[in-house]
Amino acid sequence: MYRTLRAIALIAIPCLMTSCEKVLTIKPDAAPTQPVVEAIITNHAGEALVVVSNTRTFEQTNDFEGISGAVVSITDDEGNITMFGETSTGYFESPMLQGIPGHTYTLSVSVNGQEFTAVSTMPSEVEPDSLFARIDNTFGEERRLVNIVFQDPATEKNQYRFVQYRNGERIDDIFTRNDERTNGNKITLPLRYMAGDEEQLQVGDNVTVDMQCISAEMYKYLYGLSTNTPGGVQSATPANPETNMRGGALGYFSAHTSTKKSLTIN
Amino acid sequence: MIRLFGLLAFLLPIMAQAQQYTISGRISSATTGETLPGTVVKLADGSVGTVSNEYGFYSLTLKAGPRNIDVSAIGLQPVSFSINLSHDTTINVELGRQPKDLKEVVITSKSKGRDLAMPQTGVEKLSVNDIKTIPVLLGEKDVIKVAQLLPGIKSAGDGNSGFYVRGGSGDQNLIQLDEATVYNASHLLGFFSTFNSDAIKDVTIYKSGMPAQYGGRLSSVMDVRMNDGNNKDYNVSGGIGLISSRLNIEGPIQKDKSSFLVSGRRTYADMFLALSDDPRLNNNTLYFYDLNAKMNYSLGAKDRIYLSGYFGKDKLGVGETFGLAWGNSTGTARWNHIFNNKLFSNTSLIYSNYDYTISIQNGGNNFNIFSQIRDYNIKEDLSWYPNNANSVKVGFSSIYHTIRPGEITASDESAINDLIQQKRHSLENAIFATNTWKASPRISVTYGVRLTAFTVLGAGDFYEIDNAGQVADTLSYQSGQAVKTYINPEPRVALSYSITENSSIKTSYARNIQNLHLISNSTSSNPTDKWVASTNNIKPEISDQVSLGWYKDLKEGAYELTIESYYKAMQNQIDYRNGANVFSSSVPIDAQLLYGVGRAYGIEFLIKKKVGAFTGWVGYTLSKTERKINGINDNKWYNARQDRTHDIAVVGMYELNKKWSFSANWIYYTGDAITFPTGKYRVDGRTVYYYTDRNGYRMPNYHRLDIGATWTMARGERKLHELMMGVYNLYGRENAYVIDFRDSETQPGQTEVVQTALFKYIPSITYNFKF
Repeated sequence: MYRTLRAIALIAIPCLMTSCEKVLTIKPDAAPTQPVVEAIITNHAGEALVVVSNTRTFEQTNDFEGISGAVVSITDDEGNITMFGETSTGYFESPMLQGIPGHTYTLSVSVNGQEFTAVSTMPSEVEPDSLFARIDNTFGEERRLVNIVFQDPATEKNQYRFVQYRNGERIDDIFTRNDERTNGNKITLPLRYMAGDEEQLQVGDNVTVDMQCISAEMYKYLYGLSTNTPGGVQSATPANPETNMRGGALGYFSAHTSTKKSLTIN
Repeated sequence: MIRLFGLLAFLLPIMAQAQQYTISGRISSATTGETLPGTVVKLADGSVGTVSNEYGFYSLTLKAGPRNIDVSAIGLQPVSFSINLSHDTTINVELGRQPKDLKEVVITSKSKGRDLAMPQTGVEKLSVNDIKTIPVLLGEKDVIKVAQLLPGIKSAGDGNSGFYVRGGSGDQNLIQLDEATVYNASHLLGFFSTFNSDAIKDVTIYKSGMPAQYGGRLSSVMDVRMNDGNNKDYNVSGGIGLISSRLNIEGPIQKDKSSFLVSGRRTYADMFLALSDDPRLNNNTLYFYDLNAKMNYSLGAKDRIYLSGYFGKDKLGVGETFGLAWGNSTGTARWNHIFNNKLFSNTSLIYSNYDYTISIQNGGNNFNIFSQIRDYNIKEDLSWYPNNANSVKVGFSSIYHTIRPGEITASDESAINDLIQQKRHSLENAIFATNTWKASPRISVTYGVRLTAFTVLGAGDFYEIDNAGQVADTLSYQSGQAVKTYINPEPRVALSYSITENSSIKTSYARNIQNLHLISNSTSSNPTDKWVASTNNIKPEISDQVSLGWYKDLKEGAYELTIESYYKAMQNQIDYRNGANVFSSSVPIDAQLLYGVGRAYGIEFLIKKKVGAFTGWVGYTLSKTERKINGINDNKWYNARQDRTHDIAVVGMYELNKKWSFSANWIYYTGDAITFPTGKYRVDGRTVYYYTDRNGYRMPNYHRLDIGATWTMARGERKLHELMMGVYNLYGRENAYVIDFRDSETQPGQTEVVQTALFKYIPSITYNFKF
């Protein structure tokens, strides 16, 4: 809703006036370094990944280096512990670990004398029925959009995340939905994203959609991530997304299902 | 009722009384018949006087014998008359317009502004006539935008009609049009107010010491009164401007007895959109309109009926796919009754409604969202003038609120399910009594109390929320069952002391209670902002304000100087939990809120030049506004977004001759407090900002200069042709509207801070006519 309003305001306002951008030189203080843990486990082997890093100051470059030497494990609800191995600096993987929908997983990360834990339950899997591309002119401008069709289960609350890849490159937009308004329905969803002219889908493009069923906490975290910069007309005060990590780390732990489907636009 | 008066009379200071008689009546304009509130009626020697009430009624009790009486009001020709008082007398007075040529000469009138002897603090009055030449954005005359040029009243943003008063937030202003609450007083995403200046008589803004008849909001009262309509002659006036056109028709129904007024305004930005070649623009809809109507009817010397209404709508649409329509409608029926020459009554029946509808046609996902707040209100005000030393107001108000938070409806084919959120009902009752007592020639005191009882009513589900913001228990209530009643007394006291004939000091204390709270996901007004009533979790907001001021008239009232300071403490202030999604229908709003306290203090300076060819004012405010909310900023005090240390406005109007007048204003204020990241990290393949201190930084300071010129081509008693021209932000200052952080494109790996500015050199031209 808010996004739509914002999009409209951005279209409407320039016709009334001349809006203009300027880069400011403001130097905020530097907060002490904070540890960051990003961890996922999916229903496919080889996709479990834990990344341990640090925050940098606002003025530093975006060279986010990993922290080496952490002890990382995931424990399932039957008490089976899987230890992760460090594959590159700050990247920890377990090639065999495969999550099962309905099961709860506990992450543990020990680094530099600190211990961080988080718990996540993998939701049940909902698979997409089909994908198709269609010309859309919602905002008066014709553009190609990929639509996904799926059946939402009526018996539970579902949260979804859709990640699009255009010719193998991820489209950098957070697209989430829950079934608050669509519970139990067959849903056709145009996967709209903010794009300049070069980022529009073209005939011949190969598009892959990764449909993820995520937990309610992850849904909330991603909402926080998408409103993390003020970035818009009359926006609210920005804040840190609410993490499920315990022990003082930023980031998240998400157990989710992942189902990929592809099409070539013709 | 009589018993109540007996009791009140007992409470009033007892005065030794010689043989006395009362003069009473109504004061109105000789040219239009409009009633004139705030008119001074006094003995020529100045020893005894009174001021007409909001319906122009006055009552003055004097010793028998020959008396000379002066009647004077701002901008009008004073009237003096003599009477040999030997019995109670009704005298209705009509004041004529001041001959234009005399304007420079008549500078001795004491009535040209605030009343030094009245205890009321923190009050600003604006009449539409006074402000018409002040330049504004796109030439849309707007009382709210002029009010923002006064100290203590701050604009919610560049070109915005929202405002903050003495550290309060935007929803803490009680905005009333003919006594009906206007829940969303802005058009077009906040750039224009709902008040069409053609239909407005005057605006009174109380920043502190609100009179006891007002209640329901913490920080201010903006009381907007509509014109009554000319009961002497038919008049057609209007204007054609860059973005809107206006038409106003008024006239007598029965000459000198009753009148009507119809006033309309419509913008046509969408017509320009249609001319554009850009398909992103020419499919869109973007307009608003306002309709004001009023009639009054005299039922004899003692009774008068007023009916007034407002209807406004905004429509915003993107092609066929998205539509948003919102608007207010209000209706007021009032009955003035003069019981006797000392007792005046007004009974009002008031209706107020705000709603919006969103319609979305998006492939198979078509649906509508509807939301509404609606009030039915009955109100009784009695003004009683037992003697010249006391004037009493007592009354009650009862409002039945219905809130429909959100109703989603969709067609059968749509993938969206219908979802109706429960309606919320509440009853807001208040009684009040207040007396203004002239204790001595130098000292006046206003003391009173308002008692508010707010009852949250079923049917519906209410929640018990634990500390983590989770629903611990759900309680279901039946229709009409009281969920919770909050009873709060609101004492109001004010005192004035006249140091000399032209200077005084005043002080006041007021408590205010607020039971309706605006839930918004942005910092300024949006059409989809939601009002929620207090619940078992959301407690009434409370503010206590003390104010102290010094007031002086200079050069026989040609200049007035005001210095006022205030301290305000606020309780049960509301903010959001991190990650709150206030539009979610599955998480109750109660579970997404945090509560805390606020404080605001400051000092305001205002010097006004009120007469002569050159008029205007300079206002300066030095202030601080902070919040402390449990769960935000480590529970430490932080600056409120609208905390602006310095705020300066300079307003000048110059009348060169009968044809030309010029105006300019310059505004400067400290940039709003905002939150900046103090670190950043990488998650989900993107740069995420890390925040520590809430509102610890500032936007760049804001300033701009506007100029305007009015060319009067023809003016007569019933005729006017004028052209108004202006430029908003003449020197093109790029004032930050939004501040954003992003990865730099020019310096890879670096983060940059980007500001977006909206308005730069915005010219305007408007043609006004009257015949």
